Amino acid sequence: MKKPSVLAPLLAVVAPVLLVLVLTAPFLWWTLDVDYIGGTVGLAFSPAHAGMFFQGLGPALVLGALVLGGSVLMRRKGVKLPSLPVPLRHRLNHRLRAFKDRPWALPALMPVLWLPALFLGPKGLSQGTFAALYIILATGLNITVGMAGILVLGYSAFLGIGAYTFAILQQWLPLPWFAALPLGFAISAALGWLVALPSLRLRGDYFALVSLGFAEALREILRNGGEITGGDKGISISLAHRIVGIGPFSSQQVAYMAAIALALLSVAAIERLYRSRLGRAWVAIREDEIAAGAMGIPVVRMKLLAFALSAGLAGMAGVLFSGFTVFVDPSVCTFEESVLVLAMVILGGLGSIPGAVVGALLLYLVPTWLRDWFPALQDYRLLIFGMILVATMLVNPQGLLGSRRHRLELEEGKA
Amino acid sequence: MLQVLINGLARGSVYALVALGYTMVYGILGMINFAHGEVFMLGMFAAVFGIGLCTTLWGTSLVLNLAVALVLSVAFAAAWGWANERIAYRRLRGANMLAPLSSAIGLSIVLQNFVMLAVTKSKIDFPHFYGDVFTRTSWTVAGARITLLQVAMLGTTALLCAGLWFLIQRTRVGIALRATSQDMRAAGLMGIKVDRAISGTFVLGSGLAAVAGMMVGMYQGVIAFDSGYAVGLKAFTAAVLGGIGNVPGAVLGGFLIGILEDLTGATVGSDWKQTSTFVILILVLVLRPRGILGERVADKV
Repeated sequence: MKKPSVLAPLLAVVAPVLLVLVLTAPFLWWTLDVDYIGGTVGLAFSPAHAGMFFQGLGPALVLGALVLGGSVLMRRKGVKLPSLPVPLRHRLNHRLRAFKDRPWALPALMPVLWLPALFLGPKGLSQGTFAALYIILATGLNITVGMAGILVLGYSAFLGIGAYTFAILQQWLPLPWFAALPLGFAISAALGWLVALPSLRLRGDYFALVSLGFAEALREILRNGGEITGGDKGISISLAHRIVGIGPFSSQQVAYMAAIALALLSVAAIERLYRSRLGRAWVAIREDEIAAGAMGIPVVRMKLLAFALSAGLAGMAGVLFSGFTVFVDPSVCTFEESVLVLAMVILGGLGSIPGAVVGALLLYLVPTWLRDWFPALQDYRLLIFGMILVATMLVNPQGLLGSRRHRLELEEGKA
Repeated sequence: MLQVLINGLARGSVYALVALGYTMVYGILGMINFAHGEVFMLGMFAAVFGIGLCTTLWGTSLVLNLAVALVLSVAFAAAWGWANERIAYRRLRGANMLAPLSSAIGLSIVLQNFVMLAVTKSKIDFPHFYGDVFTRTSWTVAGARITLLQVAMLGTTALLCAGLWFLIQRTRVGIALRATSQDMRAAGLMGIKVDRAISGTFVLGSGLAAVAGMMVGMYQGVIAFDSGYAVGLKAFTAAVLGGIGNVPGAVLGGFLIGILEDLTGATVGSDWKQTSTFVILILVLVLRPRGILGERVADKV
């Protein structure tokens, strides 16, 4: 065996970076010079073009590096977060454990989290509502991807199903938004069950593609649905059914409080499920499907249940979403949205509920806040999410707050 | 009807070439290389940039420029395929299935958005001076119009498939590839350089995708950063239809999907092409999950 050289780790970083720089160079440093009449095309060397790209990428890269660097540091032995004085830490630990052991106590936090509704402006309220919605989505997706170990690529389809269920039904029925929440959950879960039924029996990676195909097909159906779905124009929610103010609270405050309440309830419910027989069955399936089956776990049924539950939560979020934005169109179920939620789950830590919450907050709030300073960041958002997916898998597969058990599993088999 | 068949076959030849990349990587690593559609798209753009380079260097020349652009785009896509495996997949080999797949999805998003940001958000015309000759020259056979480009696409695909078959079945490289896909460890112990075989698979698949990319560019006349996404999904369906991991199956599946897509376009309406592909994918998974030519394999988890 050769002795590992000191340069090896440096080379491991520098070589791929150089490789990427070389391979991206043609598209960055040269621009097309199109001759429309002659129907030919020329190339023009343009460092300014590359400069523009890097200028936009700069803040985005810094953001990505911060998130990833932070997560690696937290994992490395020896580097600890600045520690609090011991008695305070003990008391804090004690308090946190009280919530950890009694997840049903979580909704008790609700009044505390409702307080900001009183002094947040319209912008802050809308951001808070979306953050809570993303928490529901991320914890919901976490059931399937994190706990049961089934990759889903078309999760936004179920957000769309919930939103459209509400939008279509409210045209015919006297259906206020809060009454539509369970309906959105049920219909979305039922459709999720139907889609998963044929494909979940197979290897998990097929399912990733099936769910992606489903989302694409759904968007096409929504766009071509004519009268029923309103086509590309979508449907607006009638005044009587959208989220309205109650008593002294404005409609935005009501939306914020409803979203927070739903998010807390979902997190608490899932935390309970995770510790139940159901949750243990999911983790067993994730770790070894064959062994889980041999132990008497009905593998297919459990996987279906996980997926239907995920889909239902997204459907519920969809109802809230359309009640809040008062308008739905086919752009609710884009691939971009699915990827965003997946990145939240993976960055936060697969299978970890606090991880999903933190991932959702980080990936929604930070880009939203930074957008005020760097408008260009909006365009680079997806690029960064993609980089986070790759880099998390390569550097820190257990994510920010991943469970130790899952880390062992992710690293198993790696030489 | 014959017209639909001809158009479908031409379109199917593209799916067949892209599906080969999916199926070969799946056969050897057991993973879905989600970023393969983006490599196809990179090949497309590289072809246009290649033509641009030739035009700038020595001016307009139909055959020479197309040939050079083809070589450049194949080389470029192959380099990307190799780099993708090296950077994003190799470290995750043998880890939980979720890891390489997530990495591949991330990579696909990165590549797509990179091209969107670095080149353009809007569609680019494939330089029509180079495409016109092939699309305007046509013959009429039994009432159906068949263009030179369609003939060229089918011919190229047939040639490449024959070459690939020869490579896999008749050469030492092919033996290494087949051995690696059967049992990576045992192949390694027999002195086969497993890493090199895997890299080779990616290079081969990406090269084929680049050829397909150039063909689509000329066929449709426009290229866009998101072209690889839809084609990738359809080519993957084709690979599943033919039996994933099975090389002749991918080609067969590609042609079938192409014909079915044009058939849907002609009968139901072109707005429903995506849905028809998805319905096929679901039907195959329900009725015959191993695909048309796939052999029965135990589900290894």
